[in-house]
Amino acid sequence: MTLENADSGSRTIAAIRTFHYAVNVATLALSAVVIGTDVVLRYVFNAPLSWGIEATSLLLLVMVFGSLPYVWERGGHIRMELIYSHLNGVPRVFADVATALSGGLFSAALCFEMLRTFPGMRARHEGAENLGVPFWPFAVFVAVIAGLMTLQFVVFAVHSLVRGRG
Amino acid sequence: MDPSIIGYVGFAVLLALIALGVPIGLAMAAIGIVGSYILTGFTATVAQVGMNAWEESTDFILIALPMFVLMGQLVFHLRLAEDLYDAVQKWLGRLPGGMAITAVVASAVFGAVTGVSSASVATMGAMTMPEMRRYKYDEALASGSIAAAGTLAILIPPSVLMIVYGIWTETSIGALFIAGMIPGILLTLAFAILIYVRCWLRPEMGPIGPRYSWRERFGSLRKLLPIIAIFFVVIGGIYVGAFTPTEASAIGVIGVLIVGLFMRRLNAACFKDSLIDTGTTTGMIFAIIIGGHLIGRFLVLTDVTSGLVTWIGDSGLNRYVILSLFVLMYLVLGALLDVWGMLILTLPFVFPVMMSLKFDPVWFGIFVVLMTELALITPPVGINVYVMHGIAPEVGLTTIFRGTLPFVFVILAFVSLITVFPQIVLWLPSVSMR
Repeated sequence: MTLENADSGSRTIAAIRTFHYAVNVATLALSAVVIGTDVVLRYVFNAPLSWGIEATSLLLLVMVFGSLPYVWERGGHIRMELIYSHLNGVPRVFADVATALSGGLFSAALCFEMLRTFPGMRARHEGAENLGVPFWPFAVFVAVIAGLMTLQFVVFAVHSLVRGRG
Repeated sequence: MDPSIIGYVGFAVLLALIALGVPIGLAMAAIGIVGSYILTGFTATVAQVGMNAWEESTDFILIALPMFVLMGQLVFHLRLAEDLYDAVQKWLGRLPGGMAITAVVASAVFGAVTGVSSASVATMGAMTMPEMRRYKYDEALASGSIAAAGTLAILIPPSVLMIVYGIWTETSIGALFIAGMIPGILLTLAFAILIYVRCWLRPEMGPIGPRYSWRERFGSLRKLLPIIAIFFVVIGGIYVGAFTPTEASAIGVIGVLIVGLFMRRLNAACFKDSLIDTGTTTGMIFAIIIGGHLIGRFLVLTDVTSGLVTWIGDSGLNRYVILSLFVLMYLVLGALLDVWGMLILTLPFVFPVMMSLKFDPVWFGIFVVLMTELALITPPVGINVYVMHGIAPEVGLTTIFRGTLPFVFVILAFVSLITVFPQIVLWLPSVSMR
């Protein structure tokens, strides 16, 4: 199961997914424009964008984490289906719970770490120097996404267990 | 407990999870986290997770990955491949097996503007399979040619697989791209010759296609211009040192968008679909990269990798014997895993061993790409074969796998060739980087 067919809360999560899609569109398009402009300015005016690399690096971060919940929802992660596709009943539930635990472990650890470190980032004024943008809002963004992913994995595990019992 | 034992147990559990169907990126991340927790404790482990995820997803060089994927998606959605096929077919269609040869050559050229193999099969298959069926081509030959030709997309630059290999092993992505060109051209020629000889010996397998006047042929070349222009700007720019691969990827995206606008084929739906597919592919690849780094760090902590390198070094085996064993290993893994899983899972072990045996990292990159090509067309996983089956469901999977078999032998023969003559791979980068 993915969040698409989970009954409760699916509308809320679908709205967040749409937001992620919008973020994805913006980051991809902006990255191409920033890098392209940087190259043109470098060759034509010998004046590249001093903040170009920083901006596109942060856009990549937003793009990657904006995509991850959507990838899960679409079943986009690569898995070996040779055995999994033949599993039924308890073995299938076991495989699904193992998936949820694996994913949940990663996303929960990431969420915890980002929430732990962002106040320090803020206090130390860590950020992209040329761009003049602080890092901490990005850390919060990653924490929120990781939290959402943890929620996705919990929903998936619960649904698998309920379906297995049924 | 001895860290190396924890390492081996962790790796065994990882393989079990992957076999069970746990997504590869998540399984690697989970084992990396649990293993690190056992060895270094909670604080160091979560700090590692945060640092790893942050560093990988803010790596400027890795922007080339979504950009080249987007470029390929745009080329796909703008239907540039149709023009390409039409032009190539007018020139090569009259040869024995000409339509299958057209599929191979068109796939190779298509691969020059997209680094995603399955996109190449989906595009070329949808166009060429109905034509080949109309001319009563042997089904195994037709479907096998398309599925095998799709693999050329990851060898001919730009290649997303080479970007990940380059980042992972700290090998120049530009050198890898340049190194893929001659092998890509030679393998295309080898595939075409194979089809030609088979259809020359048994003409009923691939009847000759329609005749076109010279005027029509030369007129068709005009349609190749957009793709050739994009390729020369992107790869030519890298070759002469005008752009880094990351910059070239963005220039390529802008170039394709301009071509799409100029040809009046770019619309909101096409743009939206390209972005959605790119986002999904990017997220999937980054999940594997982040998970791969976590398991890689765990293996470093356990000394499993260095132990393996020492053990192989002390074994006294000839380096070509070890290379042959790796070929066998990749053939087996290719039957079980997707290319990304195969690449990320093996590089932490195999790359240090190959470097200790004095193989060139660029050469080894091309070797790995060729081995992953095999994984795309060998049973039971063979993604390209499944994509081909999706396009032509009436052609059985067994038939398609039978059709790809001769190409598997060609790729294996080619691997032997570049092993005996590594300059096939290394000459062009050595000239361009001079």
